[in-house]
Amino acid sequence: MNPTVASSLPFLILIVPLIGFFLNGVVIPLASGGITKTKPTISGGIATFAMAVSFVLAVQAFFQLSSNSTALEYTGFRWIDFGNLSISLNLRIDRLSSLMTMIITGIGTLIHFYSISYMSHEKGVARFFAYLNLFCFAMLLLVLSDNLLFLFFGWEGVGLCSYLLISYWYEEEANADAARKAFLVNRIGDLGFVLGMCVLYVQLGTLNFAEMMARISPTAAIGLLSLAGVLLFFASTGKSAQFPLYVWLPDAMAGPTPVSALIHAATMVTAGVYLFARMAFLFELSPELMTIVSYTGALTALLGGILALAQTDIKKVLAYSTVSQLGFMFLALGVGAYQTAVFHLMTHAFFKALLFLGAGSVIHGCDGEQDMRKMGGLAKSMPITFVTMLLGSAAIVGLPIFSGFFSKDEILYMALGAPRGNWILFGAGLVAAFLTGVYTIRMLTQTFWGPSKAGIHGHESAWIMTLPLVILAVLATFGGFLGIPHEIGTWFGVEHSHLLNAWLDPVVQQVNVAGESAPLPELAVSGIAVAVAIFGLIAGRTFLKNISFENSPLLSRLFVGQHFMDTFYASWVVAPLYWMSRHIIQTFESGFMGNIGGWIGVGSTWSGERLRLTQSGDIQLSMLSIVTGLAFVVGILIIWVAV
Amino acid sequence: MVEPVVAILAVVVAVLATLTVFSRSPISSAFCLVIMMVGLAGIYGVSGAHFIAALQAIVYAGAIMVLFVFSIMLLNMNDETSEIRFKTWKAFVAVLFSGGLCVAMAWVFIQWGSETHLPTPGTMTLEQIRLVGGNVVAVSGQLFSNAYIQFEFISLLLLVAIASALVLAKRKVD
Amino acid sequence: MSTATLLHILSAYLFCMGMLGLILRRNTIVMLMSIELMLNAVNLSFVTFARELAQLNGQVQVFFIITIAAAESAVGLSILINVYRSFGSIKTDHTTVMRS
Repeated sequence: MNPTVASSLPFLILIVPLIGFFLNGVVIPLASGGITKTKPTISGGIATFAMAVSFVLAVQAFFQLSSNSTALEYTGFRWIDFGNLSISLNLRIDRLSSLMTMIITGIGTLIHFYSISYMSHEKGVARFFAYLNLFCFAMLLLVLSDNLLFLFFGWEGVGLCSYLLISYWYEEEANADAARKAFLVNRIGDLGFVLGMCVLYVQLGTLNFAEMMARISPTAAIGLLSLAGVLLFFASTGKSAQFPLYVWLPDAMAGPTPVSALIHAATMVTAGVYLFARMAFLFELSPELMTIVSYTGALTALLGGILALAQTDIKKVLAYSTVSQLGFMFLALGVGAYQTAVFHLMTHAFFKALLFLGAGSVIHGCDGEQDMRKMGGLAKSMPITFVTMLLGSAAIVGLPIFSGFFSKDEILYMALGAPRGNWILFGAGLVAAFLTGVYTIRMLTQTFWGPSKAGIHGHESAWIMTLPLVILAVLATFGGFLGIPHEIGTWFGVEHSHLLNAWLDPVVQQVNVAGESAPLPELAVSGIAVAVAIFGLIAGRTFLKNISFENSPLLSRLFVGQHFMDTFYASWVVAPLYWMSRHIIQTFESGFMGNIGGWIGVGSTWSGERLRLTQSGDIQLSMLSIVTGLAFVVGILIIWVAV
Repeated sequence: MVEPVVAILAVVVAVLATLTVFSRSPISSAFCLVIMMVGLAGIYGVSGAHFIAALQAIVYAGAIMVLFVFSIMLLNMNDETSEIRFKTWKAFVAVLFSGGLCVAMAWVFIQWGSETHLPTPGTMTLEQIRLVGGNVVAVSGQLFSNAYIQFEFISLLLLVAIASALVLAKRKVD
Repeated sequence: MSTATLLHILSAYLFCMGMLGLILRRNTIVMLMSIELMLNAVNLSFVTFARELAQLNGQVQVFFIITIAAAESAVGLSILINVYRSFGSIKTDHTTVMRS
């Protein structure tokens, strides 16, 4: 491949989904006479094709990178150029971006394809596919940008698309509310992003990643840079649904299931993890912050696991499970295991997309029913969905050879063995892994096994929906082999068995765990983790099968429905805000500002009534005014000169 | 020292200007104005501005005033009632300020009108003008050398004026 | 008092008289005449200064002013004729409305 094509690859990868968005958003609705008349096959076909092209290009970029170059760079236009600030739309694919790009476009393609069938009963699906393509564009901009500002554009863009897609069925009030909630909570986090960017620019004078990295070592003002790190972490808690800003993610399940799979499981919510991996050089400056990050991650993992137990909606279970898995990733980030976090990001993208799509297939097969209490015995009527979801569940629980086994065990090993790791983090991770087993088996039991309830029997989905399930099941099963631990690798005489670490080594930092310093060897950790997971499965299958919080008023108040963070926010943030606003309205607005308006009106009317009389159309009077003015001017001039 | 001819002409012009403004019928105003124009032409002539004096007589006293008189005849304005209302506050203010302005300007000229307050004079004294062949030659030379662009623009303006006067005065078809 | 000063005072007098006529008279034709009066005052001022300063620029300027005065009165009078047609009068107290 010649160099010109190679360097324009980032641009092409980015622009193809945008073209798809344009076609679906503008051309197709115009051509078919209104957006409600668009056909799912045509719109979905175009959108899927755009993503597939993007994926092929991403694979090409991957091979390009693996053969020789360190990064593919595309120089776009210069956007801002004044003073010292120079921001250009420059795209850059290095090894981390390449991995993210392949995940986004690959899983994106599958989910677009799946959506053709899933959304086939909808009217006006061009809107849906246009949003999906726009989302992919924004997400790709996020991972391809070589500076923080355009990353922020992507960051905002995915937030916007998330908002648009959660409220896709905007006729229902609850969906619109959920979208607004997601948008507002994300804005709170984004404030941190903007402030962090400002601090970084003031301190370093650039927003380009490479330049920031080069300038960061000689800078003395570590304190302010740590502040920037804290602010960016705050932004990440919003976007990646960490404690305390995770509350929007479960509500975001109001959107169509493919959206949940693509945006709220596989890609968008991992933006925070990507940001940490990209900006590791900054976050590593303050170990205290990273400690907070790791404990936040552990807490989120536990909380997500507990809350997932209490859910009756199949998608909500998966949503809290996502929160929990994101907590795992932040736990890994916190202890400095950036590559491990990216590894779990990848495997999680595989198995969580699979689980969501499977859940979507179940919902589709049950004609829109999402309540697990009404399901049951679907294993017989939906065999492909059942088998693929079983594989996905095995992956998320972390059974050996499945992908989650490798990534989650690595996180647990790092939580214990890394310099910042300790037994508390390890224990929290183990408990979260146990909870993972419980809620997963609970979901499977209620959905697929046992007698069918409420007369729902379900039917298997069309091949368009099952094919992505099968592909994702393969990925979820074997994806973990990209990261075989070194110890196992040596058994088979393979030197670099952890392919992902080898791939990411040039761009992403990773803490080293010296084998002797770790309290437990990696294999022992794996053994414990698998044992805990299997214990969780058994416990969930036997004791906690019909776990229900409805019988206990206290627990149900805490966990089901109006869970405690929402209540907390409502009573401590929203209510004071309303109280303050109400008082401002009463005293300032209606008492003062309202009257000012009245006074201005009265004054204008009063003066207008009088000034109107001068506009009589009398030329003589106008002339007299001119002469009077002239006389005054001349008089002033004469006095000025003479005196 | 004031030249006697100029003094006489100045008094005549001033009186006629006053009559122009205050006479009752428009037609007598117009006649006063014509004579005033001729008086002014005389002043120009005495001042050595022969070209301007000729223009004043031809264009103002000839063309423009004919136009005025013609319009008055055409509009048939024989209404001789006095339209000036002297007893109003407007008239009082107008007379006050106009008179004040006139006195102020006169005072300024008397106070600072002497040659010490003027910029350095140019070279075109009356003798010099006589040497180059008279006032008409001198002004025409200026007009067609230094001011020819303005001259062309003025001709364009006249053209526009002719066209617009035609359009405006044409009786509307209705 | 020199001749030039006398002429300047005359110019000031003519100007103020034109202004007064413009304010006091309600007959539009006389108002136009007053404007001519004011223009003449300026012309006189120019000519006097031209002689005082031994320059010809003032006279060239007067030439232009006379031309513009001619154009102005031609247009002004044709407007008057139109006004007379519309209102039946050219007194300003009868023509205070812009709409017909």
